[in-house]
Amino acid sequence: MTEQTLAAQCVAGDERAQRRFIDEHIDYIHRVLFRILGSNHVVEDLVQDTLIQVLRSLRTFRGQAKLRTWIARITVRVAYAHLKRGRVQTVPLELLPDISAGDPGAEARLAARNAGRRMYALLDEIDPKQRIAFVLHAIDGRTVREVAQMTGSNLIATKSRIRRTKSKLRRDSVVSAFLREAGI
Amino acid sequence: MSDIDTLPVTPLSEHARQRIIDNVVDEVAFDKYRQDESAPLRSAHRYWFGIGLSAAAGAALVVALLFVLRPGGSSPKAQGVAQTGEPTRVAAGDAASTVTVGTSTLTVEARSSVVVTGDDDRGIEVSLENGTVVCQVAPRRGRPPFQVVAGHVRVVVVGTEFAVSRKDQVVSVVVRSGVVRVIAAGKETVLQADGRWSSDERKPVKKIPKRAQVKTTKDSTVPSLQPTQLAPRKTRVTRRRASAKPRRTPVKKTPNGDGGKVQPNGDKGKVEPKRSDEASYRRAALLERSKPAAAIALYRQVENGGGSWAASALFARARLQLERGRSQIAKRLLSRYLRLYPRGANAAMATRLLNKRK
Repeated sequence: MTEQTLAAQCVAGDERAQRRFIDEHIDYIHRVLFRILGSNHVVEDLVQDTLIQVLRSLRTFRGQAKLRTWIARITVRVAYAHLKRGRVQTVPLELLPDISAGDPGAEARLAARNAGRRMYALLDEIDPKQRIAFVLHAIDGRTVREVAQMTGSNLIATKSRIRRTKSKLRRDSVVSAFLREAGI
Repeated sequence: MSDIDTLPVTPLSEHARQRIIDNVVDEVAFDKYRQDESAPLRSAHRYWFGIGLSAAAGAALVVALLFVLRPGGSSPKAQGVAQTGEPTRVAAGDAASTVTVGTSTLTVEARSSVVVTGDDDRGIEVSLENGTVVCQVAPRRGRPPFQVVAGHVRVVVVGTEFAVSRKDQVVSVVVRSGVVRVIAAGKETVLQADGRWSSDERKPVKKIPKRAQVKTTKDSTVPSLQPTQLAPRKTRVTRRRASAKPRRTPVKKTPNGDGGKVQPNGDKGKVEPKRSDEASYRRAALLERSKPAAAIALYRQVENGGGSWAASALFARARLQLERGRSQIAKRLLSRYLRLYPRGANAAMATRLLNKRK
């Protein structure tokens, strides 16, 4: 079944099609939101909001962009609205699974977790647009062009947001070292 | 840049995942119920009752649609996707029905009926027997036309979303987005977004039902008329006679005070709205990624206007050409910018870009 057919069935109110559609895209939406917010603390609610918005707007999907890109834009908009409301309560302890004693790489991963926690704490203080552009590019590994598409901005603005966020984060020595090690 | 391995995404638990899916499906079903009934339900008790009702209503709608489509020759598996090789009759009962025809979507309002013939390759004709049909038409891009015939009135789609209502001999057309041509009694009227037309001018035309008030596809022939997601589009209404010689016609003033004009080149379908330079500039900026050629054309238009936005438009055009890899054109434009606006806001940047290219 093609994306278009599935979308048409969702618009027509076919519940089975809607479940299948959600199942296909929920992980992608979750990943994007998790990257932006850094934890599953509020992500569950936002995934739900995003999916509702996607299904409500599905009849306006024109097929000019890829469905994934279109969904990503809605996801970013939901995340932005959330950050803009100032309800950021990042719980970055989730950034890594629990570290068991005796694990050879435990120390390094513990350090990474601490740095990740610090980085998201700093990101909470940064403008949502800059934060989103940075995490999608630097943490999630998307190209600047992709990020620009997702955020509905132009390339120059996106690059500038990423650069500004990086320079703010680099003021913190721990995060700076972490970013340097990660090649960011 | 690669993914940071040390910051893995913690997946959603299966339980959370299932809960989200259930909630979303319920919420969407409830939307449909809300739309159908327009009944405000406030208490939690009513909310869940509404979800149950909407699920039942949804199931009933699908059954009714299948029942209606069967005698017309479409397969029962289609579930609202009309196989329009053969004429297909769609008659909605108490609730509206949505039918997909090729890349277009028809919403047949309650107690309305249509006969759909053809397909995207051969052209689609929707014959409205009675009631209202709301059409969301994908860009035609040179394909045969999409037409709605309502008695003696024929509506040929140039752009995208519109509703046609027929009650006895009175036919009305409301355009939500894009452009359509209405042909009646040898006269042709071009309707733009929010444009209304009625065969009985004494009768006011009803608005498009709320359900259909959504943004839809763009038509490549009229890019400047399409709405954007970020900026609400100004609405204009223009009418003209097909038989009359091309001439300027008075336009209705819209609440925002803006008007439109008919191009004096006699091209019936093309209507060029008058935008302020600022609006055109912003529109061009939005089009940069999706339609760079259209953005460049708009920038050039602003530039030619010679207003306060001309300098910015010239620089933006140069930058965009540079981004598209057309460095020769970009160089020429940057040089022109520096010649015309040596103390312009972007003069330093233009010099830097130009020096980089040299």
